[in-house]
Amino acid sequence: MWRGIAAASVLSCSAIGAQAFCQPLASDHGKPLPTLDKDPRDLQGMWQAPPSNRAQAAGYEDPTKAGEGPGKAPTGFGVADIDALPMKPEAAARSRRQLDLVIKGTPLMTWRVACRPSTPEALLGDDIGGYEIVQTPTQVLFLFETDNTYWRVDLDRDHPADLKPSYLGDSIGHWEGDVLVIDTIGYNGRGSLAQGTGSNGQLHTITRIWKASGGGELKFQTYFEDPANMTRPATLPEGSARLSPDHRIYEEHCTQGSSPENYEGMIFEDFTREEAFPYLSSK
Amino acid sequence: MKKPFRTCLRSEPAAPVKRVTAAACILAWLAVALPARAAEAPDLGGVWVVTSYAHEIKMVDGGTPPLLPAAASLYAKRKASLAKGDVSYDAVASRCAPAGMPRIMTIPYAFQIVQTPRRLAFLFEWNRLYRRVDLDGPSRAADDLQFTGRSSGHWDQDSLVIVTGQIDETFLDDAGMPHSPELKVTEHLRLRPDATLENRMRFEDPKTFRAPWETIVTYRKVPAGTRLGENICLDRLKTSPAIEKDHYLTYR
Repeated sequence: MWRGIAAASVLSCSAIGAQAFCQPLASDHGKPLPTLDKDPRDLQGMWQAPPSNRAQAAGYEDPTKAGEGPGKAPTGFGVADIDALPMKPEAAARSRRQLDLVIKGTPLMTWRVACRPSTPEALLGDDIGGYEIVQTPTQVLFLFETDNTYWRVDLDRDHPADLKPSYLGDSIGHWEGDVLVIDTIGYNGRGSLAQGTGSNGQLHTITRIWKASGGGELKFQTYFEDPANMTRPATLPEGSARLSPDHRIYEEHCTQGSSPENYEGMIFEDFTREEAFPYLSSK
Repeated sequence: MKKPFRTCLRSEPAAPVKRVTAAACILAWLAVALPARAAEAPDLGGVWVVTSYAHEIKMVDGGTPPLLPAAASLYAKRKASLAKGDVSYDAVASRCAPAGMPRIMTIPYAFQIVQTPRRLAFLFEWNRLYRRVDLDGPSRAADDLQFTGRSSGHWDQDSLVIVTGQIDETFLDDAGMPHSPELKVTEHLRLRPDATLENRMRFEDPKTFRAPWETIVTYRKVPAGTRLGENICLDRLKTSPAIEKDHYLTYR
């Protein structure tokens, strides 16, 4: 219930220092990997994100169960340091309002909560579901438990000229040393990386993924441009996942057991209830 | 096969003869470590779509599958509802729920196969779902019943044999053919000389069928360079059915 409410509302910026913004990477990815890792470019395996990623994943917690008192955002839900993000005034105002609504227990309905696919960045940071990476010389696939959906990154082509906007956008990748650099455009504007982003089709992300800790850890960081909402590019906090060879892939489907009654109290503002749940009025 | 492992792990000075031995044992290790026939396995990769669509699944000879009475009665009731335009019994048609196995393999939308020696992934355009098959041992899917079940596969000559069990409450077709949790689906996927992909599916479910039976679904390869789209059922349910029966005709 209330899955991904925060995806469109709040992002914890506690891990974001102001210096992190506008820098393509503020991480240790340049450090040499231990020799334990036979092939740092082989990302294949089962991965699970630690709970600390929740801030970036934008949370799955039910805010009604994790409150910290009046006027404060719930634990783990993420309190955005809105002033630290290079937001345009109107985007910042919207984010503050979204946060207020979350605290009041009446968050805005988002497309993600309405069972539409999440953005790749939100899926990577999801600390509830794991994922498997499958790799060929020309493709890297992320098979996510969440949404039972996939992210396909092609290594052998450019973005097409006739791009049709989509929830996960169009992703192409290349290697810079042992870092997989993924360039994504063509978002349909319905997903979110953080508050104030993704409400338009101008989002452009560059996600860098690399192995660390001798191959036992996957790290990633997303640099993004969103000229409609941001005054300049920014970088999301670094996320990570642990190699979990024994992890069993579970199919998580939003539509399974989802019912509009579960979303009572949420506010429909960007789209209608009927658009969110068309079967309520379909034949 | 234990001896090559022990020899391989021994640290000894390199010498010409020993280098040959080392090479031999590396090959022996690879033979054990990699799935059989992985190197020469047919390449099923590409974007595929069914060559035809039928909302009712039939046996190879065109007959109706041998449903037990209770299942036949339920199937008849669902077909009667469908005939009246009432799809409320079908979560796929009414709410865009996952089609699951085996229905996801028969719907008229393209899918991409991505193949490695250890894994096969079906990436579906419809609702952007996927199905994964372990080729290097038992399924690593969770033990619970799941819409795509738990699939493991191996190569038999030029056919990829995929066995799937633990399938959640899905339908076998778009008309609502039922099955029980005991359903076991065995697929034999092979490339035909005419470059189509054949999927011979065998169904065993003693709680639903009087006897095992088979059907064949064929797929054609969509021209190279075709990008798999994103067809989100809920985004268009207001204006088109969840499963658009002629959609397979829209591909080049």
